[in-house]
Amino acid sequence: MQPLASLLTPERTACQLPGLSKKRLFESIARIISDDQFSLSYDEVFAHFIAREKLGSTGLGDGIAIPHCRIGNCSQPTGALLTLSEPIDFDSPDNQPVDLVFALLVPEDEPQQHLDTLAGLARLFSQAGFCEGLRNARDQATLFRLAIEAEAVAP
Amino acid sequence: MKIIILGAGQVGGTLAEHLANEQNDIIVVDTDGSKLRALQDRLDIGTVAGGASHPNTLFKAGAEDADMLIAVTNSDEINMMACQVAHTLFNTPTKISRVRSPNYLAHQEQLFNRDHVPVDVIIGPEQLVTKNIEQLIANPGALQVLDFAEGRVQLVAVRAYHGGPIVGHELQEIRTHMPKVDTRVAAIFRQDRPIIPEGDTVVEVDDEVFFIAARENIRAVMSELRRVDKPYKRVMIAGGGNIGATLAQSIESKYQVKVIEQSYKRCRILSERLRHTIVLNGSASEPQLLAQENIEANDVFCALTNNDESNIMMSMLAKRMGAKKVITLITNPAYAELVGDEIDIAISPQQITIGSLLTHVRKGDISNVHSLRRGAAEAIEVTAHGDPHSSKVVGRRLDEITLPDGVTIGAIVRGEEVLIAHSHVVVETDDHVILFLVDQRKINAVEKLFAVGFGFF
Repeated sequence: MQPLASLLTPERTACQLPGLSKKRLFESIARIISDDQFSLSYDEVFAHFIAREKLGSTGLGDGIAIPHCRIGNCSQPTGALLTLSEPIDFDSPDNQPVDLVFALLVPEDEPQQHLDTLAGLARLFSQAGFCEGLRNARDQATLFRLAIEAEAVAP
Repeated sequence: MKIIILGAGQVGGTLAEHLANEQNDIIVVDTDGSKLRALQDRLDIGTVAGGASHPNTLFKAGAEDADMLIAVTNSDEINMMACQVAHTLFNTPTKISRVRSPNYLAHQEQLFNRDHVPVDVIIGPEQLVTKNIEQLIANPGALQVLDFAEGRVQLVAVRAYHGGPIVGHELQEIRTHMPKVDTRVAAIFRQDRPIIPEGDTVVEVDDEVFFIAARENIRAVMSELRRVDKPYKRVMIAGGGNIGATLAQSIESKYQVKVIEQSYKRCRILSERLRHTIVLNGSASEPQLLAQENIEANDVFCALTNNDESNIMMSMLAKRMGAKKVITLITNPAYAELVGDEIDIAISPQQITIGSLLTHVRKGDISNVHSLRRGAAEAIEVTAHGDPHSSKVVGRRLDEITLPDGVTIGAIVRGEEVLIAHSHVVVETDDHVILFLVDQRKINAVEKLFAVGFGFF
């Protein structure tokens, strides 16, 4: 598993954002990623996440979602971590609203590697203690530090 | 999903009704507060009174959070402007607009895109209705003919009559009658109650049978259920408005068409526009005119004026005077329920429009939704995505897929190939799967079945 350090930067970490709605969550994600990565445009990132979500929810359950999609101009796997001050409706399998979100963009190539990354993320975010810590973080720096300190979880 | 519907008219209201039952957040906007109150009395929806395209109205309706905007007010211009405002100010992901005027529709591709008039989906009810009637004229005896996969597959509703070889027999015998023709009966409605057909189901007289087959086999299958009418030759159209004129234009090279239109001015326009159609100035509710034009020699009489009452009355008159088949445009759903055997086929523009709108509202990769039996049943075409890990259907034989009660798979279209649903067929990724739901409320379960799992990129 790729540790979170290689997927995340402090700029792509947002703590206790007002969630408001699924649409505005994806706007926030698109804003955070496109501000940080010049090759990726806001509209493109937004549209790709929306299109993937239409085919099936990326909610994991227990208030966690890991929206993910492929995008052509993306040079390497790129993540963004967000916690929300108010949980939002996300069509998750357990119908629980979501307040912890890790968004992942990957290039078009290497499908197996990306699947491994995604599976690793799912394992990491299924640890209650880890998620609890992220949810309790009150500022961006703490949130980022907690996230990258996490150990990879063996399958 | 959060959906804003602009316009509380018949389409807006019916759509709200459909969607309010499906775990959506619906806000309906209209200038007429009394219409909104009437809707709110019976549905669990929010409403906002105001001009549909005004930024402050859209803001009040929650456009900042909405996943979708559906503009179905009476004005094309307001609908388009609302989409523009939603796009520019609120970044609304999906914007659907009804556009009626053929003038705009003629330039559809240039006008409607992100950089110009940002509408993601244009719904032209008149075009849809015209296409629908055209199909009915091309398939004599069918009550409904619906296209899937660009018309490669059709779903046809037909009433079983004495004399159809399969009537009184088990469905599986169709195969021995016609070894080369493959079809699947998706549902049978007997005295308005649905039956999920099995191979040993016996078809009874008066059953309304919905079957799915490749387009080239439709006629053969129909001939199993009833004596097939001869191809139609003469078509009389009452009402030379938008729908009547478009229909005449699209069929005039294949049929002998007469259009009856009351306005002399409109008649002049029509006779300039139409090449082979005979345009008659007068009223189709005049028995003399119908007699003079040999109504009894006509195969189909289509009542397509913008007045329900006139359409119904002139259809009854034409039928009594010998028209072999009448097709009647009826917008009021209450009337559509009332009319009996005098009218062979009642066409509901709302129901046709609703199906087309639902195509874009449903979750998943859906290419067609047809709303049937006044919205109680539904037929859909959905594309299967993913692999055996991320999908609950891909890589499975049809008999390994657990469908919700009352749902049948009728056919699969794989590229150009049409596969009628038999238990051994295995679903592949990118297959277009055509399903029939006798109960439209099962749609959520179908959406879930076809939704890709978490592991899909």
